[in-house]
Amino acid sequence: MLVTRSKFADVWNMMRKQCLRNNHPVLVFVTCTVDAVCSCKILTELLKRDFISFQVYPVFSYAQLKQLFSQLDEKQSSWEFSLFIELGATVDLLQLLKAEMSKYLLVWDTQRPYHLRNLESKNVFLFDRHSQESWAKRVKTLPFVGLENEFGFVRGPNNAFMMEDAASLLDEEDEREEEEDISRETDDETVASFHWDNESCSLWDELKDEETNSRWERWLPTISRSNNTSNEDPNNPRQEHSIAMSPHELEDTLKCSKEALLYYAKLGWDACSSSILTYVLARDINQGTLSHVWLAILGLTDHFLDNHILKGDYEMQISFLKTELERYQTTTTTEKEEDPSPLGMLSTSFPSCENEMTSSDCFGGGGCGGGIDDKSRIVYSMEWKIELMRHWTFYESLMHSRLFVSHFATWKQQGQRDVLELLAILGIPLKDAKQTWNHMNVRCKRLLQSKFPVACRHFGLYDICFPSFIRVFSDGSCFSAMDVVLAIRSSLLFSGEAYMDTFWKAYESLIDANVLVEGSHRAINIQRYYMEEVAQVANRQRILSCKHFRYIMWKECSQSLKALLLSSLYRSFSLEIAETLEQRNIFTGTKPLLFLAKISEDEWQVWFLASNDSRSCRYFLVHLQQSILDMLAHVRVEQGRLVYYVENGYEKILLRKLQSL
Amino acid sequence: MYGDQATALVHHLYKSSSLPPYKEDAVRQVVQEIDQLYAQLVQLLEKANNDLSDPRIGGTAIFFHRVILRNKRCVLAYLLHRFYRLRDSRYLVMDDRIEENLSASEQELLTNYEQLVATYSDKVQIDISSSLYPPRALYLEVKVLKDCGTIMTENGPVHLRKDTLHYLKRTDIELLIQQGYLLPTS
Repeated sequence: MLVTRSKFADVWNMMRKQCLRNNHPVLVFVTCTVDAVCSCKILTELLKRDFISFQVYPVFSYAQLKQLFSQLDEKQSSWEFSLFIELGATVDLLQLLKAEMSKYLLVWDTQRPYHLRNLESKNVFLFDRHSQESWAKRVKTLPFVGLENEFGFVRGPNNAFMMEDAASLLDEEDEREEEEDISRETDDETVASFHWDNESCSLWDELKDEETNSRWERWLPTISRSNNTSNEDPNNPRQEHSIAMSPHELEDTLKCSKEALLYYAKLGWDACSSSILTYVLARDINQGTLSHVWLAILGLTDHFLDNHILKGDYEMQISFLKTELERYQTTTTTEKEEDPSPLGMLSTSFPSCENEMTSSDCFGGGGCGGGIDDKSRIVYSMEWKIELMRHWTFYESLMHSRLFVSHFATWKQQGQRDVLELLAILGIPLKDAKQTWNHMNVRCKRLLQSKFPVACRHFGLYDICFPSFIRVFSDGSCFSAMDVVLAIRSSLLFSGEAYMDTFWKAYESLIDANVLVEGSHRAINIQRYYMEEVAQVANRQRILSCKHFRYIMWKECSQSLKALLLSSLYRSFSLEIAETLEQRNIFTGTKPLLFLAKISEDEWQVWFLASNDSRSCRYFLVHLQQSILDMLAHVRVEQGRLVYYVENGYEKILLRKLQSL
Repeated sequence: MYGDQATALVHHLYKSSSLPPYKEDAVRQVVQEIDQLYAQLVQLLEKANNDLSDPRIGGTAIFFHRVILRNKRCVLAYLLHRFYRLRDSRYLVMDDRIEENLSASEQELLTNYEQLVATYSDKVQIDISSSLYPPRALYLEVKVLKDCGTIMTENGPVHLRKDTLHYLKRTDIELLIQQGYLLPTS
């Protein structure tokens, strides 16, 4: 069931009372992303305050989660509530884990769409930002439950027919989208409006599109009854009804099938990160602290850096956090801090705050160890989209930032010349630009402050700033939220068997400043590596284009690339590639981009990146999912159908199926 | 040069933060050097009929004597510091690897020391091996470093699997922390 915004505290208090009464521990299952680690930290601190014992299990795949659960069953561990952070919403948790009906599963997951069985279940609580009223409206438009498997795969209509028909559908969609291409960007921007009750993401509106409906209706007579009965569930009365069918009922059922297919094809992310939701929960039960706000900021920044959230939504959430920050820091804020001056952004260090009041009480006082430093402060700041600038040289960070790599192609001589030209326009000597940021001439920093946005406009770069926060530590050093996120992410990179350590290193980064500094050094190396790989992809034209999609195939992956792809960093990596391809006009159009990488002798990792949320991408995803469904015996599904691990040899079959669209 | 072996021995211990393997060969070489120097000193004194008025003979004899004393101090310092570290490690984390690094005499010493501590604890009715400071919290957040299997706590069985985090009552896990199975994180 969905737990709407107003019910957060009720559900939490219910869990708290039950756990304290029965003395049962709470199990926490958490994935390996920055947002998840931050949410986990907030939730465990809330549990600590009530002296509820808990057990945290890092989870890297649903297969591992299943195994963990069966082990817990074997050991007869007594528990009643378990928390799932950044996993679980898109799969049928009860079926997947075979959990007893006396157990309650609380889920904070930003992946969408929700698995419909989770929404129906009384044992699964999905924390969502929507209000009760808006959700009540949506429930009426939800598709039919019971046609999907535990991962949300819906058995579609007869495959052969589907391929032909969808191909024609896609052709027309492509043509239409080319016409609409120009106006799309502005449309996307207008959709971006964050609100706790955001109505912008409605799939159902599109289902009302008559033209699309008529196409789907052509499928209806061809679908055999066996397709539907293959997924039958004896516990579902609604489905039992669908099996004994008259022609009219058959038509209804097939419409349901269509709705379910489209519903599950809309893979995406919620506008609100898990850490924001957990922070709101902490605030609702009057347990919010400044360290929780910082964790929420990190989670949100992680969400933003991975393009899970539109700019408008991000800005709304930032303003919400800014207001929250003022609640905690009003007694400690000096005039200097209130002014979000760009100099603050440009500094690596702030004046010593020995003589100022500090917020030690707010930062997890009372033994909860909420933050890295008990005497640190959080300051609002407009940040440039230049990664790790404060921990690198300005020149190097420009050369390796996602924005400049994609726009200037800095791996090329021309791109490097452009960067030099930019520095010349700014009036910054190359010697100073290559100085570590900490030791860069103050005059140059002031020049940057006044001229950098203007100089970027000469090169067609308009959107170089984004609102964020920086954290100033008691020794005067400061870290931006983006840099902290990148440093933590770098900890998540693993190779071989040491994947568990990566999670704990990331967790430790939230507590230990030394680990964070180490992480920032690693992050610099990762930025360098990103550029090398992006350059290879873009230069060698490794991208192959089919009629309805493009794909990149890494037949031979280096160890570093394998480590990257197997970690959660694969997404930011693929985004960097996609952004570069888009900016460099290597491939125009709106085709989805498919990535295939041979990560071991036996397996290929397959994931895809939609260039936007267009219908062609949606239909392609439907076909991808149908193809995967046909090969399910040879495919491992992970991360709510975002990543597939295909047995070696079957990747060709998958490509053939997709190419035959 | 005289005394180099002994210096290296002490330096080896100084560089290591934990208890390094016992350097039996190095200790033997220092003892051999002491014996050799002693023999030379005795020979010198016999030659001079114990007359040290000649500054060349007196100086050489004092030099030998000083080197012998220095070597002896180094070896004793090495052994004593190893004992201190060993004793401290009993109250913190007793790693399996530490036991491998002990010499036979050190192992015997440790056993005797533990017996003494146990006898004293029984006599005064206080567990002196536990922490001297009162606990700050009833519960502890711990990370599992090694698989501990299932333990029984006041709230029921808990399976302590490697690389998981637990928030448990201090009294339930204190021993496991001492044994190095669990690491407190806060």
